[in-house]
Amino acid sequence: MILGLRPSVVITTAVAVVGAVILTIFTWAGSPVTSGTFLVATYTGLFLGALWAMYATGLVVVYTTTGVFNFAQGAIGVFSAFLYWELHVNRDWHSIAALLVVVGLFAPALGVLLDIMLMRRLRTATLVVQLMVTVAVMVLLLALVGVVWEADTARRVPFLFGIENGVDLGPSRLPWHRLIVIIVAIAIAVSMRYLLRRTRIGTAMRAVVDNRELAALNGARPNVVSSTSWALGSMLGALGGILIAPELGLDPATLNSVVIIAFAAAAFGALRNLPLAVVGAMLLGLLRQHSETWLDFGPNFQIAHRSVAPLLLFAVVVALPQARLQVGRVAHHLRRHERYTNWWEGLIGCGVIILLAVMLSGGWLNFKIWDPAPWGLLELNSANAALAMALIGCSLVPLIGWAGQLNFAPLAFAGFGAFVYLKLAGDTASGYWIPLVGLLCAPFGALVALPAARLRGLYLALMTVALAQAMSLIFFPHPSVIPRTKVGLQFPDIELFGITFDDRRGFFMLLVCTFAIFVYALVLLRRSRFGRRWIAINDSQAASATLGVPVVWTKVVVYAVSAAIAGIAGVFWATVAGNLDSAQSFDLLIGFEAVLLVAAAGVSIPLAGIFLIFKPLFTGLAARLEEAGNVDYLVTFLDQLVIFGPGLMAIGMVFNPRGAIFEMGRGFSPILPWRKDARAEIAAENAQKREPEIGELGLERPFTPEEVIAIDRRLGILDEVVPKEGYGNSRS
Amino acid sequence: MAILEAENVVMRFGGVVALDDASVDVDPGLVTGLIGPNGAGKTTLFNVVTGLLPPTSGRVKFDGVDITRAGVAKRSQMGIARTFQKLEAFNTLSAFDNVRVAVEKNHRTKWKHQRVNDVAHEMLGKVGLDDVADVTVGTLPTGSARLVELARALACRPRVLLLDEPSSGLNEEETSSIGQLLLELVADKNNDLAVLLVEHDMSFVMGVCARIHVLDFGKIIAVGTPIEVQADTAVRAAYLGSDEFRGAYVGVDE
Amino acid sequence: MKNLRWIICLLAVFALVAASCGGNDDEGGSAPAAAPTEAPDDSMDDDMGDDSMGDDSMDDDMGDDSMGDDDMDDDMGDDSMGDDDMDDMGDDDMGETDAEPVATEEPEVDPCANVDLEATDIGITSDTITVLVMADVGSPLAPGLFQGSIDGVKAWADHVNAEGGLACRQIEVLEHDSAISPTDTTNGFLKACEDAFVLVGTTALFALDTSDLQTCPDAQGNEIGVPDFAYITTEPPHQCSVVTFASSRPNSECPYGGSGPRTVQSQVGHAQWTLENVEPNLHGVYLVPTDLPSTITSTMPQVRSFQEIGVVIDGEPGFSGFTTQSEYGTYIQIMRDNDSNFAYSGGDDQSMIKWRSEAEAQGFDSESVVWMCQLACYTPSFLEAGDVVEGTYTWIWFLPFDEVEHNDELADFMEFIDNDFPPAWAAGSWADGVLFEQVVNGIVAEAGPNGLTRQAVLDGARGLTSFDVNGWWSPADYSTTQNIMPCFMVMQVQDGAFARVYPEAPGELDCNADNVVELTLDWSAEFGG
Repeated sequence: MILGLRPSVVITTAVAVVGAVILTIFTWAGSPVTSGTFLVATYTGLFLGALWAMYATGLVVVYTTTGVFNFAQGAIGVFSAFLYWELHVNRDWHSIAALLVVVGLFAPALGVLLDIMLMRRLRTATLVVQLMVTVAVMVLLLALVGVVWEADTARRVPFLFGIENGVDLGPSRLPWHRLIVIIVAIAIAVSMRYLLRRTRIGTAMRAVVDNRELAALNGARPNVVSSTSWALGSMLGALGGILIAPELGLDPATLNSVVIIAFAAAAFGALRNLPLAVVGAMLLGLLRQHSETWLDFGPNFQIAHRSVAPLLLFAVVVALPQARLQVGRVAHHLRRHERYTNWWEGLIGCGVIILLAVMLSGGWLNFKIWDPAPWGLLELNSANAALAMALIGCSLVPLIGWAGQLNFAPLAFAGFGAFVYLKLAGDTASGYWIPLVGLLCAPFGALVALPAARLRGLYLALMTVALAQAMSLIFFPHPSVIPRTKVGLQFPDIELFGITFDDRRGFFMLLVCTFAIFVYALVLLRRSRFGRRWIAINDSQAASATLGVPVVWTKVVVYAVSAAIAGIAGVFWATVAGNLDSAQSFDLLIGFEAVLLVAAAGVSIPLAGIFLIFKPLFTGLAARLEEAGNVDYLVTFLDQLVIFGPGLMAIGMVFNPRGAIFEMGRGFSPILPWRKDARAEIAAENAQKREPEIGELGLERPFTPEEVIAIDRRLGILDEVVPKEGYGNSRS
Repeated sequence: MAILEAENVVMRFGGVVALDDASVDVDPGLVTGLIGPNGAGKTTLFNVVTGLLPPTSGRVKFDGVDITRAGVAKRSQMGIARTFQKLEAFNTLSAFDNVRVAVEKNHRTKWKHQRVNDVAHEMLGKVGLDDVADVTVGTLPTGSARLVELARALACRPRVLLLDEPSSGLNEEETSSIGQLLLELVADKNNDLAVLLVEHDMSFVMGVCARIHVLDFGKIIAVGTPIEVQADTAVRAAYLGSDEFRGAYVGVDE
Repeated sequence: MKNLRWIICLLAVFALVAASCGGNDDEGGSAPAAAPTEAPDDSMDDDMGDDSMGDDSMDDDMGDDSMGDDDMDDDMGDDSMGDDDMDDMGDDDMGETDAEPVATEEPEVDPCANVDLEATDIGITSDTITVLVMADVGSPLAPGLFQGSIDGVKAWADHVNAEGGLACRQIEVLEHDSAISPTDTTNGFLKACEDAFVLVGTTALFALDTSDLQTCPDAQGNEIGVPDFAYITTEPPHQCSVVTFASSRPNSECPYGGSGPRTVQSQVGHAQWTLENVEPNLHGVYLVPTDLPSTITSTMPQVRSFQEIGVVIDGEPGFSGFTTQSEYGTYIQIMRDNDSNFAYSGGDDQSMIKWRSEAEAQGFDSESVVWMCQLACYTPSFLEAGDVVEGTYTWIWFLPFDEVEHNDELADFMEFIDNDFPPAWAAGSWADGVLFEQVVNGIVAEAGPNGLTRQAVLDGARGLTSFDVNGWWSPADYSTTQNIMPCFMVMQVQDGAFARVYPEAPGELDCNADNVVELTLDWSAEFGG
């Protein structure tokens, strides 16, 4: 032990430092080292670090006090910055007035609103639902910004404090604005630390997340506490957004991307340690500025220095100690009877999918809105792109749906698959390479999961965000990965079984069949011991481990399987487009939206990937309607649905965590003649509804022990008021 | 010789000492009791023994081998199985599948699907849950879910079974049948089984345990047969004024 | 996470720069002519007669049309291109074409009279011509991005219809949103193939797959492609498409194998002018946008061509849309260390604003520096930055929007677009419309209003060796994929407005043949940051 640090931390730090030194030696740009250049890089780095620290502080405060990691922190900043622009620039309010209204009124109100409407209900939800809902809030806020403030003009937010004057530091100058921001960021972090550690409300805030019931018994009001946290977090996001907007320009995607750096900074503080998070942010700023100033990664890695944040996150994840298996976080579910889809039901289902696809594309289904006609190339092209996305969606089912492990980078895995295929098949485009692509993608997925699988699920989720970013910054732009300037198609038509799928109709059928096969494979996988084991580690890692299931290894395996599916899907995805484009295809927001849609569909269901046809479906429908009859309001509705639908649907997970397809299935399955069990379940539910409420019973006679248990279960306190180790030494 | 020994285990959480130099040993063929007031550190000791918590100091030995540093799954494979005080059943899976996960992991031979199912049914039968095999555990009553955990633990073919309050949520009849089951299991020499039982129901504890350890504020304050423990003044003092005060004396009186 | 909107603006800018830097292979005589691009040229000539013939026939049409010959006379015969410059161009093809005296025969017959109008090809009926405008507008992240392109085409169609239509028919405009997505862009090509006669004003950044565009069957089932009068072409497959005629001309050699050296042309007229008239000892920093490999490849030719004409580059740092203003302090520091007097941004208007704001924040003496950027800075939002951008130079290759009295086409555009300071892409897609109009009029003059087919339009466009949007834009040769936009004019921000500084006379562009430099570059090896 050195300085009382854990060996893993010391080793990782040492490796990182040595790596940085070697990297520096090899990539030294040779620009003259002057005190001016050094100073500029240093205080610019500190200033950027201060801005990121503000976001990170908000993340840490909300996480330590409510247990929810807020992916929407950046989007709150974006919305606030736009609102500030609207008031200050567009409506000529004084900057102080606009600032007070946005940071002092709007932001806390938004925070409290989010808490009351959504976040409060997420306390007992699974990590998947928690993160999905905050991601949905992010997507919705960004969509709202896009609709309210259209991108048809460039907007600029002036600096809050004067930038014309400052402290002269040798040959350069540090403007007051930046100095103030650095001081404010540190002051905020210090005061938040003080608030959490030294004040009564702060103690209550921390106590509530550790043990809500106990804190409540001791007089804390959990709802007030969580609303306070969200208000604070939201204010910090708003302030960060308003301060960083003049630096970056008012652009939703750019501003929002800042939050990913804040993720890395927060992770540096192990998500709970404020001072360390601030140090992490400053470190990131300094690393990035100095690497940009002094190092040259060559023409093919021009933007590599921007991947400092993902790399730091990676190092943090490696250095963190193995997480303890948590007890007492078992999720509760509604469904009464567990029932596998039979193998023959799966076959029928897949047959129905293929049949429906053939009928739709052949124009044999008449919806009475327009004349049915066989699909033209236009429809087929959209359908092919949509189906390729649906294939990628299939990769999320075992991972998120069963094992409960998040992955925001399905497109990065798919892109990797396409890359592997390109290298394997070259110009031959033989479909027989595709299984091999799957085999090669599996170790890639395992490799990504390996460092984070020892940790709690949140770190894995953050790792995938980092992966998506690092891949799009370092990997995909490299010309030898995807030769972007090549004229013509990089991915020629797939040839399989002696058939070249060169026309869109043929390729459509190939995709439909592939999708059916994927779904059927998932049905079988769910029935297998792997499916069971993955669900087991999702339900209780502690219990799985005590039964001899190696939790870390199981997670790695499920990542590998998911990566293999995504990689194979990626081949089709790239073939539909004929090209892979780094800017468009690997945008993290597109990945977020895809994951949201699959989750909202009911990610534990093999068919969930089909929801990824959502966007093209409604866009196409809107276009068809517009051509057919100009049903204006309907077209507008569909357009808005495409923009806001994914977010809204995912927010629905707060109330219905099992997803849309699950609910549809509940309604539909009793109709099937052989599903006696489904009818029985509905009957049982109806019977249950007729039973009087527990509370009414208690008024007339004493509770029976069973009812006491039922009450305890409903209150979530079960048999003991002290569920958590470590705080249990006082007798209650 | 004891199959499981916890020697001088200390467990600190920050400034709080949950286990303070606690030593417990469990002999094969017996049900050993571990009692103590709420928050005495019983579950913490279970967590240390099964590897969910690394002890601050002290050692855990299984069959004479030091397993203090071994992982949870490794210990399970060696033969330590447990149930949880706060339920840790796989709520999304059916009772049957809960058991199957354990069977598949702990019976080495590449059994056929059917064989796995047979064993799983056998285990469910032992705890009397045959008729709810297909029901999702999340919707079962607490008591039944506990029995699922018990069946699941048994499916691991353990040599040491750690049971954390198996009777809570069960009615008297069910409790006594569980007690009967435990006694049968340890009595069967083929099983080579030792049970360590944490329990609040004093009559249950006194009825099935051959030896009892009493834990208070993380310290073992008494070890002995049920009669010896009940006579111990330190034990009486520890239980004085607590929830189990009456229970303890009911046990004594009976 | 990519900043889509930013990249998009940047790509647009590059396409425009590329356009302006574009050069003709047979121009200047320095490079060996690209044989493959020559071939269609010849065949076109067969179809259309020689160049000047084409011009003549066009003028005939214009006269026939209700548009009135006055416009034509003004544009073609008058001095909007600047007679001096024309003389400079002297012996090259384009110069000849443009300088050729315009034949102004008064039309006697109305071509629409006594003709039974037919549906001669896909998208044409007896009384309408359907054109499709595709632009990136509907991305949730950047809604309304290239709406200007759609507005431009609609304004053009309104204008044409108000003047009596085209080929005796009215123009109908179909819109398609390519939504910054490769799939939606391909869908647009498919839709055009099925429902429209031609594409006009295409402003889609992700035209990665143009096979559907180039192989679209016409009414006879011949897979000849849909004529695509695009505004920008950012992707090589689009640049090298044989049916695409971009009003901002691509500057790079086609076909291109994907790696290795590629011949490019670069417009350096503005830099030359700066050397001669503002600062003879020009040295400074060129900001290279590095968001994408393509943004680097489209910028580097200009940096290298600057060096070729004697500008010293003190540093060529890479930046991106994610670069905060404070990070521009690093670039200021390079300028300080080298005592630079030149600052050129290859990025958008926002990058220039950030750079200049940061210079002010750093207390850097901006007075002695020539700040310069490209068309991207010619926006109202650049002016909104106020005092901080005062003195910045920008250059464009068409007459600025406020010179309506010097060009009738521009006047029409400004009247119909209904926007005091329209985005450049509105102008570009209007120019596409005029280009299509000119080709159609040529066909009508030769084969009558029923001679209008996609094949005829393709032949007509391929035979167009000089087109200058009736004097509003720099002339360009559409008969090759790689060609020249030789003209430029320089403006400077003075008192919060763009003021013309060169050429001094309003309505003039500098079209000297020396404005274009040809280079052969291996993109991937050029940029060191």
